[in-house]
Amino acid sequence: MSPKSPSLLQGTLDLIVLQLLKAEPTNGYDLAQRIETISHDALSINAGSLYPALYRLEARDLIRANWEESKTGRQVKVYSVTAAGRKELLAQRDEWAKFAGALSAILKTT
Amino acid sequence: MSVIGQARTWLRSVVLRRRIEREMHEEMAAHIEQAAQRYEARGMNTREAQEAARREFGNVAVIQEQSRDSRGARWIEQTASDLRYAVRYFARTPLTTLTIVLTLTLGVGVNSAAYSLWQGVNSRPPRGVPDDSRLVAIRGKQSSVVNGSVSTSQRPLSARELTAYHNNDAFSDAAGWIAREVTLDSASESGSIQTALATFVTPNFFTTVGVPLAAGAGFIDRRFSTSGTAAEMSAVISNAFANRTYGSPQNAIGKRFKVNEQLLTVVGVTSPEFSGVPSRNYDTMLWIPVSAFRLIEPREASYATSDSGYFYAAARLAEGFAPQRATVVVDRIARQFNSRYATWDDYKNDGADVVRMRGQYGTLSRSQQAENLYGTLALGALDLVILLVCTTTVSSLLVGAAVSRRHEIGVRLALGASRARIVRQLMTESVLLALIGGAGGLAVFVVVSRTFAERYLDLDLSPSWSTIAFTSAIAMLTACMFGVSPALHATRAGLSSTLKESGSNVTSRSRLQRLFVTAQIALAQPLLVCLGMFSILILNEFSRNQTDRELEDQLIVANFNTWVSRENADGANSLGQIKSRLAALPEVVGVAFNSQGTRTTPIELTSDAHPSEIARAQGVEIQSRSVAADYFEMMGVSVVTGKIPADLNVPVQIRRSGLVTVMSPPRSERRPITVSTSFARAVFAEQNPLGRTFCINRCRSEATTYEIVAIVADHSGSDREAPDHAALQVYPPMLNAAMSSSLLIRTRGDAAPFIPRLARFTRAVAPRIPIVSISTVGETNRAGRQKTQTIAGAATGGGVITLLLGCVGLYAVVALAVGQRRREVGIRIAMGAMPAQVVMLFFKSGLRLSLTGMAIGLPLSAVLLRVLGTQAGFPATNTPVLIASIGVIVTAVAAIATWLPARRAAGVDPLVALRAE
Repeated sequence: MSPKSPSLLQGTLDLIVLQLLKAEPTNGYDLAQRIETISHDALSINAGSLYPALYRLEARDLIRANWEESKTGRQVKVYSVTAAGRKELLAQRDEWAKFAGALSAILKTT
Repeated sequence: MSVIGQARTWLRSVVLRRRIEREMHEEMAAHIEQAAQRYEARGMNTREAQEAARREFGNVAVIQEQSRDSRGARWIEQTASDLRYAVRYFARTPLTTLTIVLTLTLGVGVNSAAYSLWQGVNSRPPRGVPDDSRLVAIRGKQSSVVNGSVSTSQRPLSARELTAYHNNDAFSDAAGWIAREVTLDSASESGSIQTALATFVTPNFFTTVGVPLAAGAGFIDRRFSTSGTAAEMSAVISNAFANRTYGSPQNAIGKRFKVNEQLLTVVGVTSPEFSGVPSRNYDTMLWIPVSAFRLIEPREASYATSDSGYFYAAARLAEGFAPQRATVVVDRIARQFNSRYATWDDYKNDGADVVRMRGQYGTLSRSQQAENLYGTLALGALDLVILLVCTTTVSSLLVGAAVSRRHEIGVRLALGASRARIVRQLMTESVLLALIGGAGGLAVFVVVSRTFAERYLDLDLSPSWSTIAFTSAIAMLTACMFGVSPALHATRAGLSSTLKESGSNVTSRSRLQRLFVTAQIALAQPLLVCLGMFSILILNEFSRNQTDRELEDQLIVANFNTWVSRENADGANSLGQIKSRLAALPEVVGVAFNSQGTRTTPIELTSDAHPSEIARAQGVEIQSRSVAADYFEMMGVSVVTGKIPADLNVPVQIRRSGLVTVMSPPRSERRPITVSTSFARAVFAEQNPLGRTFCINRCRSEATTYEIVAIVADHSGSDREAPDHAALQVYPPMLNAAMSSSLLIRTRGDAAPFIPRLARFTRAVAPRIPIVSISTVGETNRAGRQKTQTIAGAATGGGVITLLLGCVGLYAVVALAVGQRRREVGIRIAMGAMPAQVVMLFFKSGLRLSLTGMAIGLPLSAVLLRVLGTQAGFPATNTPVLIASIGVIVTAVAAIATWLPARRAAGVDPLVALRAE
C-alpha cells in the first residue's frame, strides 16, 4: 500500500477489492487503475499489496478467476466475486458503516 | 474457510503447483506489459516505458514470494521441496544414508519387538482367543506370612467354589480347568510315548472362552459340570498335534490314543493359533472333559468330593457387570469357602478377583509382580540402551554430515534463507530417514516375529495398529533426538568463516559428536561383555570330548509317576522291581536311581581343618548332586580311594496337599560323601582327604556335615544338563533311593532306538506306574545346548553390531576432524611437520575418545557381569580376564577405526588446503 495520503486503513483492501470486483469483473492491473481513478488518486495500491490480497481472497473462495482476452488481444486473468464473496462484502460493509458512524460521532464532539 | 475448503486448497497447491506458478508469472507479466503500454501512450519510448512499468510494479520475485505465502499452502510446497532436496542429498551420500537407515532399522525394530512383547503379555488375550471385553479370569487368592511379610499368590478353586461362580448372576458362563502332565501314546508310531500337557476342562470350556474348533464337533455334553456322572472319554487336540500325528485336523477326528493308559477318542481339533489358556511356554496338546479326570489321574480321584483347590477359571461377564463389580461378588463368595488347600499350613484364603483375560494369566504374588516389574524394567532398559546407541551413532553421523555441509548451508544463509528454514530442511531429512528406518524396523520385526518369536513364545505378537503407531512415535522421537541438535549446530556458524572454510567453530561443533561417540563406546562394552560371557560358556560346552558325547547318547533318563505304587501296598517298591528287571536286559549296562538337578554352591570346612585349607576352601565352588551307590560303577568311574557309601535310608517326612509335595529329611547329622579328585586336590592339596569334614554352603547349627569317605576320578558328568567344568564335583549319597521316581539307564549302544522297547517293557512289568517322560541324556543336552547357542548367537550378533556402530561413529568423528582441520594440517605440513606426526595427532585424539568411553564402560561391564554371571553360572575367576579381553578388543577395533581416517591427514596438500584463504 502506498504511503500516499490518506493511508489505507488496515483490512480495508479486501473490502475495496470485493466492492470493485462486484461492480465489474476485471484483471489485477485494471483493478489497481480503477482504485486510483475512483479515489481521485487519493489511494494507490501497489502490486506487492494487490496480488497477495487477490490470491488470499481466491484461496478463501471469495473471488474466482478466469483467463480472458483483453482489448489488446492479450490473455489476462479476470477476477469476479463469488456468492460467498458477496456475503462477505455485505458483512464487511456493515462493519465499516458501524465503524465510520462511530468515528464520525466521535469527531463531532466539541 | 471450512476444513474441506482448506484441504482442497492444499491439494490444489500440490497437484496444480506448476500450473499455478505459470499462471502467476503470466499474470504479473501481463500487468507489467499493460503498465508499459500506458507509459508508451504518454510518449515514452518502448524501453523507457518497460523500465518505468517494472519500477512501478516492484521486485517481482519478492511479490511472487508474498503471493505464494498468501495462498495458504506454502508449507506443503516447502516440505515437498525439502523432501526433493533431501532425496538428492541422500543420493549424493549413499553410504552414510545406508548406515543411518540400517542403524535406525535396528533401533526401531528392537523397540517394536519389546513393545509387542509387553503388549502380548499385558494387554492382549492369549493367542487364538478372540479379544472380548466380557471374557475374564476368576483368580482365587491366598496369602501367607513368610519371614514376617505377607505374600499373596494364586489359589486354585475347589469344585464347589467354581460351581458357585458358574451359578452366580455376575457371569453368563464360567468354565474351569486342571492342567496336568500326562503320558501320551498315540499308537500311530509303534510304541511312541511322550509327555504332554493335558488340560481337563469343564465341558463348556470352548464356548466360554470363545475358541472355535478347526475340525470336529467337540465334546458330546457341553453343559457345565465339575465331575460329570459318566466319564466322557474324548479329547480335543491341538492343531499341531493333529498335523504331526494324523497328517491333518480332519484326518484326526475319530482317531483313538491312550493317555495314562486310558483310551480316548479325538472329537475336535483347535485352530492353529490356539495353544491354551493360560499361555505357557509349552503347548497344551489335549483338552479332556473333566469327567475323565478320575480315570486318567486315579491318584487324585477324590478331588470331586473334596474342597481341595484344583481349578483355574475363565468366565463371561453378564450384561451390566464390569470386572470391578464382579470382583466384589466373587470375593464375597470366595470367603465362604474354606478350601483345604488354602487353609493348609500357613496359607490363608484371601478371597478372589476378576480380571480381563490376558496373555499372562494370574500374577498375584508380590514376588511375581516384582519379577514382572523387574522384567519390564530390564526390557525397557535394554531397549533404551539399544535406542541410545543407535541414536548416538546416527546423531554423530548427522553432525559429521551437517558440519561437512557448512559451506552449502553458508551459501543458502547468504542467499537469504532464514536459520529456521535451514533447520527445517535438516529436520525434514532426519524425519525422512527415521520414517524409512521405522518402516524397515517394522518389516524386520514382522518377519522375525513370524519366523521365530511365535514359535518359542505363546503370545500374540502380530503387529497391530498400536504397534505401527508406537513404531512411528519411536521413529519420530528418534528423529527429534538425533536431528535437532546437529541442525542447530550446523546453522550456528558465523557466515564469513563458514564460507571461507577457515575452520573456526570446529571445536564447539564436534564436541557434541565426541560426546555421542564416547557414550556409544561406553554403552557398547556391557553388550560386548555379555557376548564374551556367552562365548566362553559355549566354548566350555563344546570343549567336551567325543567320548562324553558318546556316553550321553548311551544314557536314558526315565521319570515315572510313582504315586500309585506308594498309595497301594501291592505296588510298593515297584520302581525297584523295574530297576532290577531292566538291569537284567542284555542291552542294558546298568540302572541307577536318579536324582534330578545339581546345584552349584560354595563350601565351608569345619573348624578342625588347617587354616590354609580353610583359606583354599573359601574360593571353591562345588557342584553337588546326590547319586545312588551303583551310579559310579554304571558310569565307569573308578574309585581312587575309600569306599563308596551306600544309599541312606533317612526317615523323610512327606507332606502332600493339593498340588504341593514337600519332602523334608531331618538335618544336623553327619553323612558320608564322595568327592572328585580335583576337589580333593583343590582343598586338601597333598593331605589325605579321607575322614575330613565340610558343609555344603555354610556350617550353621542346622547344616548337615559331610565326611569324605571316598574319592573318585574326575568325570565330566555327561549325564546332567549344562555341566559346569569350573565347578568341582561332590556326590552326597542318595536319601531314600527307593522313593526316587526316576531311573538312569545306560545301554550298550545308542540308547535312542531302545526307548520304545523300554516303554513297552516297563508297562508290562509295572502297568500301574506310568512313565511321565523318557528321553536320552544326549537329546536333553542337545536341546539345552541349542538354546544356549541361540542366546549366544543373539548376544554375538548384538555385540558385533554395537561394536560396528561404535566404530562407524568413531570413524565419522576422526574423518570429520581431519576434514575440518585441513587448513591447519596444510600449515603444519608447510611448516615442516612430518606426515606421520600429523597422523599421530588425529590418531591420539581419536584414541583418547575411545579410552574415555572405555573408562566409563568397563565399570558398567563389571557390574553387569556380576549380576548376569552369577545367574548364567559364569565362574567369577574369569571375570577380570574377560573384561580385560573386551578392553583389548575394543581398543584394537577403535584404533583401526581411528587410524583409517587419520591417515588421510597425511595426504593433505598444503597448497590446496591453503588456497581456500
